[in-house]
Amino acid sequence: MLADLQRDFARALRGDALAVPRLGIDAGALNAERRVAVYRNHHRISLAAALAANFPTVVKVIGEAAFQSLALSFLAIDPPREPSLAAYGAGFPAFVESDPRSQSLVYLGDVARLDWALNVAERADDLPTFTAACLAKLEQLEALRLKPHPSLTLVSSLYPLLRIRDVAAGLEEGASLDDGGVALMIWRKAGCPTCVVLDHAAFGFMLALVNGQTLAEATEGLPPERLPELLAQFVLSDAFLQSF
Amino acid sequence: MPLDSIGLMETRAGIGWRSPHHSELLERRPRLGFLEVHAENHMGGGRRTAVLECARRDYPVSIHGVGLSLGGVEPVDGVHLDWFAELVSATDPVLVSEHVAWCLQDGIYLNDLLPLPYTEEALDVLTRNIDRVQGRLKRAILMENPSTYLAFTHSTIPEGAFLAEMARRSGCGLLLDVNNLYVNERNHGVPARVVMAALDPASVAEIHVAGHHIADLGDATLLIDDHGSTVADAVWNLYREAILRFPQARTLVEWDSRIPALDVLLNEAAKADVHRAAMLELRHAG
Repeated sequence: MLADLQRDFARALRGDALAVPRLGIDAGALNAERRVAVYRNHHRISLAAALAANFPTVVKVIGEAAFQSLALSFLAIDPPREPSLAAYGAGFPAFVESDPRSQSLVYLGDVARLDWALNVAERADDLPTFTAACLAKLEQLEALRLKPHPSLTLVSSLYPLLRIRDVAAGLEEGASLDDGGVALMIWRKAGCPTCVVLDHAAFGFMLALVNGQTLAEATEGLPPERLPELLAQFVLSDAFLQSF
Repeated sequence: MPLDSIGLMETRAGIGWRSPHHSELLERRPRLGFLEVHAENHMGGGRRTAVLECARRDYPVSIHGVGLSLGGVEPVDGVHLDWFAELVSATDPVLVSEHVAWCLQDGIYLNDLLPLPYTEEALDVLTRNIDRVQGRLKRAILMENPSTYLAFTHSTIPEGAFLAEMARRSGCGLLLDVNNLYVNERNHGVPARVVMAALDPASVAEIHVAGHHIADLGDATLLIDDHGSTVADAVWNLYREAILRFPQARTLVEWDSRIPALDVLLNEAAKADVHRAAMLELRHAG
């Protein structure tokens, strides 16, 4: 039955050597295991390469060999479930953080989150965004609840992620974890993936809006003079959807 | 009848639409028959979609699916198919193609074009899935013959007859990859010319040529279809024969790994044009 063959082939690809004899392979000059190994190697190497493309900063921080090792372990527990390889790796940051091999690099999980956020900003669906014209039509500004654009991610880290990224890219000589943390807003602005640093108040404001709070709730405790700036820089800049 | 008058000479070879070449292609706009777009590379929005729209203004495109898993027992993913149909609708491609292969099992994408046994059951599965895609797209698609590194003892149908019967039952056309034919001939001893001879000449609407890698495994060699080098002379020879059999087919030069400078790829496309023109003249004279 073809269903049995495809189930066993998938198992063999993912490392189950006991599945190979059940495939009924016409061996010839090469035995069945070596023939399956051609497919298994391609399966693993191509998916590790896809992950590397989606996490370029992690690769630069730990090197290609260490990344390949992490990627193969991740592939074994969290294989792709979407047809686009660009969408593979949503669970990788959490995996990196929990893997014993990266325990000495406490910031690596957050570096992976930054990479993933930039990946999402690059490829998220194009949807109409909330604009100044939308704002002008509103009668009750305070009651406004917005829905984040799928390209938007907020990343808050205890570590200096942008400095770590620049050091990994060879743009800076060194970063100290004593430099402190950073809060980032990453999204697609005017068609381009964009990453900006948010101060404490702006991060709290954006987090509240992303979590579905009203504009009045999000601005609670903020100096009133900041609202125009926050609206212009973050709300009316392709970060939220037109429909909400 | 002059060849130009039946349009055959006008169709130049195409190349793949690959990110390292996007800007240069849009800037230089070299004369090419079409650009082949790997569908799954363009899921979602953003710059890639915007850049593809630019390319679409300058060139015809073909949409080449690599992940619908039409040889899979598991049903075609409806969300994936809807998205694929939207891409086809948005780009109005000259050709739409997929593979005689499978890649989806238990909801997991295995990221390879995995081999099928050539059996009645596999024909039934392919026909069912191709029907579904063609019904959704409301157009015929082309199905590409695979390169393989193993064969199954329970295959009962020769490769050529299998491809011909799949096309007959489903109404799909064929994308004949002559590099894959050559790889299979060397790996399994299946003569490429025998496969070509089994096909209905009217069913072949596109031909792929590509480079391959010869892997030395110590006690044996295996040809790997890696699309990472120039087309081998033996494959150009098969291509010339394929043009004689299938003169109406468009040609695409594939290059997907170790992607070279654009000029290298354009040179391969120009070679295909020269081979094709020579064979069409020969066919016309004969």
